[in-house]
Amino acid sequence: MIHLYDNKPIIACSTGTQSNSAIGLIRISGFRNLLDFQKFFSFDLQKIKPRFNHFSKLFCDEKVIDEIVLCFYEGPKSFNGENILELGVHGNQLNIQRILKLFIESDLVRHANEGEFSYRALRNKKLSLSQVEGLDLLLNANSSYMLDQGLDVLQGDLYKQYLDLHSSFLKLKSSVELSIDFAEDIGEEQCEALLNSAQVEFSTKLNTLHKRIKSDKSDLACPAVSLIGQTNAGKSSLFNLLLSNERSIVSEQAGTTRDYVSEYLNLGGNNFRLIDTAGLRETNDKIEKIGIDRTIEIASKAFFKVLVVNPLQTRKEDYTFLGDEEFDLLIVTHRDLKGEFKLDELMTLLPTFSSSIFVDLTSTIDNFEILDLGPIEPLSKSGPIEPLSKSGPIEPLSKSGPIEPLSKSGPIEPLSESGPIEPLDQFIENLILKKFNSLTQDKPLLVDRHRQVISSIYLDLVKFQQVMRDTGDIAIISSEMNILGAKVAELVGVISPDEILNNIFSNFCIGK
Amino acid sequence: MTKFDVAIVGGGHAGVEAAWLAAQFNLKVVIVSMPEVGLASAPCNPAIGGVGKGQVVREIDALGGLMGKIADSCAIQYRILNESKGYAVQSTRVQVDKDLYTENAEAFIAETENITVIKEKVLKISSSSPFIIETTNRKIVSTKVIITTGTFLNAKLHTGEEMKEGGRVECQNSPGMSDLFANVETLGTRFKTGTPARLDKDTLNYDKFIEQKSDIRTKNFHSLNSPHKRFVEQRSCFLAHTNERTLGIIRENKERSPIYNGQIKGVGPRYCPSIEDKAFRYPDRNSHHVFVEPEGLKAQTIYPNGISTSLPKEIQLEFLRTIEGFEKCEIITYGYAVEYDVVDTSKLTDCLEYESIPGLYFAGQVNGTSGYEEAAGQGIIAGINASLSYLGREPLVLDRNDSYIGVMVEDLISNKRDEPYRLFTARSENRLYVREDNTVNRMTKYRAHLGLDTEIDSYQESFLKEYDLLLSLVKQTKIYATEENKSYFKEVGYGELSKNISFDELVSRSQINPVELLERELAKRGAKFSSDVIYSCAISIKYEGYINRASIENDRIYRLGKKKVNWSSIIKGNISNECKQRIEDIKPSTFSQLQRIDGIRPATLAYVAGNIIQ
Repeated sequence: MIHLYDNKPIIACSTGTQSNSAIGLIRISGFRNLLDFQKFFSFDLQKIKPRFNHFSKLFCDEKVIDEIVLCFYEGPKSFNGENILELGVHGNQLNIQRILKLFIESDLVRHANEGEFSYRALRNKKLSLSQVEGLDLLLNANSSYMLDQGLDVLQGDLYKQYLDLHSSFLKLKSSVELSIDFAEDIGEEQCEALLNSAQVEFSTKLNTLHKRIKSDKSDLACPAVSLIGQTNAGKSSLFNLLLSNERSIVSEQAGTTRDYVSEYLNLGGNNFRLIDTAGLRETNDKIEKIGIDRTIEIASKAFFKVLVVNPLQTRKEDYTFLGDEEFDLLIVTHRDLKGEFKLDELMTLLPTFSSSIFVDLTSTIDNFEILDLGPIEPLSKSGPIEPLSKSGPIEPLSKSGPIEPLSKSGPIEPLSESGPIEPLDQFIENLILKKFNSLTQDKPLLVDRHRQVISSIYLDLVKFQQVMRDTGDIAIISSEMNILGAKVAELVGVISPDEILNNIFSNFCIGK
Repeated sequence: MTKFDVAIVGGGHAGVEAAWLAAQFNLKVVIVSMPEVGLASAPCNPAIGGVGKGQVVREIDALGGLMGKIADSCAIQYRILNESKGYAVQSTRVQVDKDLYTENAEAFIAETENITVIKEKVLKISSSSPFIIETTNRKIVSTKVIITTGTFLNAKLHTGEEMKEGGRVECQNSPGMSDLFANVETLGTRFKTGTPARLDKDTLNYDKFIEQKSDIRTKNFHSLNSPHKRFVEQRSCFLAHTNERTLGIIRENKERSPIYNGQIKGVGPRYCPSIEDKAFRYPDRNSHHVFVEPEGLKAQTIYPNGISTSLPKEIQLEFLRTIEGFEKCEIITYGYAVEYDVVDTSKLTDCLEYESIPGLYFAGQVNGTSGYEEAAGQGIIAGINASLSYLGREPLVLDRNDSYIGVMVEDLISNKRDEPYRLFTARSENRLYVREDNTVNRMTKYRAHLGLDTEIDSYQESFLKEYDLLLSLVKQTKIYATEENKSYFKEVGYGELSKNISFDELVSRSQINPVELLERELAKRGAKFSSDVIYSCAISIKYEGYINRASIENDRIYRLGKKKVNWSSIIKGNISNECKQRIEDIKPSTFSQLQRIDGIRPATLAYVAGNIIQ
């Protein structure tokens, strides 16, 4: 932490240090005099034009070590408010490391700490704390939704909404202070009207934000899809099936876990983490037990949960570990054995499902059955599920047939007799995307701190409105409002009484 | 050469208060004041108190000051401001008879044997203690000096194009700060304030105004006066309004206004704008309040509050006559603006002593404040501390959490002022507690620190005893949910009584007036307490829960703020030179003072929070 407060110029490679690439971008930030760096460059730095690219050779002890492109951003107009020099170098990692070393050994700069460029932007009031958090979202996004929100916090509507909420709060607070300290100047009636309209404005704006924290966001920052089931139920086959189209882009670092495997699955511009978990079964083996516990933990965190079941091996004990976990999809494998079990009996052994769709996975993925159970939320484990037992084998779904509006009631009919069914992998992916899109519909906020603060402001507002109704004592109202205000300030920055007075003076005519 | 213990230069509200306090310590005190001006005169509006200011007057009174006593003796109208808005923000304001105010102030001072009054202009003051004060006629020596020169330092008066030297109308000014002292720094900018024209009271049509009568329920300021005794005949104020024509005339004459044509360079207060400021800053508004306030029982003048101006004389008359009811008005004294030097209060300690010149104190408008009450509040702090210091005793510093005077002094010394300072209740973080009704509870410990044993000290002691007795009675009494009590609750409108409750729970119920309730219940039980004690106790119980909640929240927000910081080690750290400079200027002793300094960068705060405070 101490380093963050040290004002020495900093250097870092901004384009990643993992792999070689054509270009590497090195940034130096916070120097006073550009000419201090002259000895490294063939280009005459006195002739540099801010925001223009200049070609230069890079010297180490008068020996050329790279050919580079220079760009100078002059503070305070740069992104973090400091003088910044950008070097576009050849992107071989050895080259990049050699250049960083060259500058650091000159003692003109030190290596930047993580996030330090942004920290300096924060310090120089180029970015607010919320915006830094937006930047963090942007840089670490796993989904296009997260990317969009990162941008939104950084410069877009969301940050404006925070500022807007803050200015509405100032208005509200000002109207209260006005009514206490300057009622004679303004007149009682006008004071009251101002207070009322300010309060309506503030709660309207807060409600809009509050809607966005209602849904659970842990699902969305890095949405996981977990496959859970007994050993040998067919999870791994399903896992491979879903990854079969080479959509896997990044591998989880090997060796970190022994108990589950995960891969990234890119669907509709969003990265999902597909997790194949350890098989569930009752065991006395301590190590296996740990694996199962972790499986349950992962299962509970995943945004989309699939239970894979081999009907012939299903024992109720195997699922007791899962507790009240709700699943989105049940896949019954080993269709060939269908005649040998009753689905309604099977259901009594299984946990609850929020989704109404069962897929009966067969050995061939092109030929599977979908059984619609209707809404199952209130599923009691004991109640027999009639439609299932009646259904018997059904025909494949047609590609054109809409999947979503599967009828919710009545016995399941074959949906269509013609055409090949949509492939199973695509079918499951559509289900996942559909759930994801329904969750992002309300544009939920992703930054935890924002969610906590907004939720806490919301609770305080409810209390505050209660106080407003209960008492005409404006001193109490104002005191409660200060509590509210400290939290609104946390969302955007710092508020001081002077700021409120400024707001009063710029908007109202005071003068007795 | 006559020798004094404490000399006060300036006989206004700050000076008189400082002298009155110093005299209580039996020190030898002198007030040196301008020849043409009476003591504690009111050159602007004829009122004492107001929102926030009423609290200050009562704080002064509880410290043993003079302002409340004088105000009571000549108050011609009483009002409770913010009456409908809750006890914490209620404040007393009185209109005073200006002539009587000065007359009575002079009498109080004259009765005090160890105060000498010399009415001569001061020319020069030596730069270390014992100070030699040179006036037009003599030299005085004094161990401590308190400067309370108000707007007089190097002052210039403006009425339209007319500009002359003078401290106020028909008064000479004092030399500039640099002539008076070699080593005292003034602010780079001068301050400006203004006053409206005074009108002949017999030339107005009062039928056109809304009358505001004196409110007999308002309590006197001085705690030893019987609460509701009025000392002089009461008068009404009236409310009038400016209109489009009024503002039109002012807007047409922009280039003739000294504020807007560059003739005045000083900075005026935003909260007390001249009518020119109102016209130009709020172009959409044409109707502004004008309060018609009598200046005294016998005075021929009225004070039209809200339209201070420095426009040329003929334009003053022209715009005044557009106001309904003012059509035939005649001006007795024209409005004017005054520009004056102010001392850089960031160089003062929390005792209002000039840090680099021990023994020299500053108080009042010379510190860049406005208002009689603010001046008197500083006067009393300077007077007390000059005396304590003379006697070699511990200084008295008021906490901003339990007094408005404490708020003001800390605000003053923790920044360079960029406009005149006035107290608002909004400046206090602890408004629910800093009330008029509990002044004695808040101030007694400060008064006791002075170690004086006078009538007011015994009053406060017995008040607190009675208060504590009543409070413990209320806290210990239970109300049982008997059928009888239940029907009684319904009958008097106390709400439900579903289970046994404590008496203080009842007092703090939200829809009930706590004072009336406590009075009624005590009378019912035959318990006799003084009405002041009941009043204060009931309100304190009412606010207790809210104050606790706010203080928990404040602790959360200001926890860091209370931490002590050592400014000299901060400036050795790795922080920007600009911040170093500002910190060196202000010398903050707590983190919150550091935060309050303008222009301190977040990085510096983070550095201090991370490295200095452990």
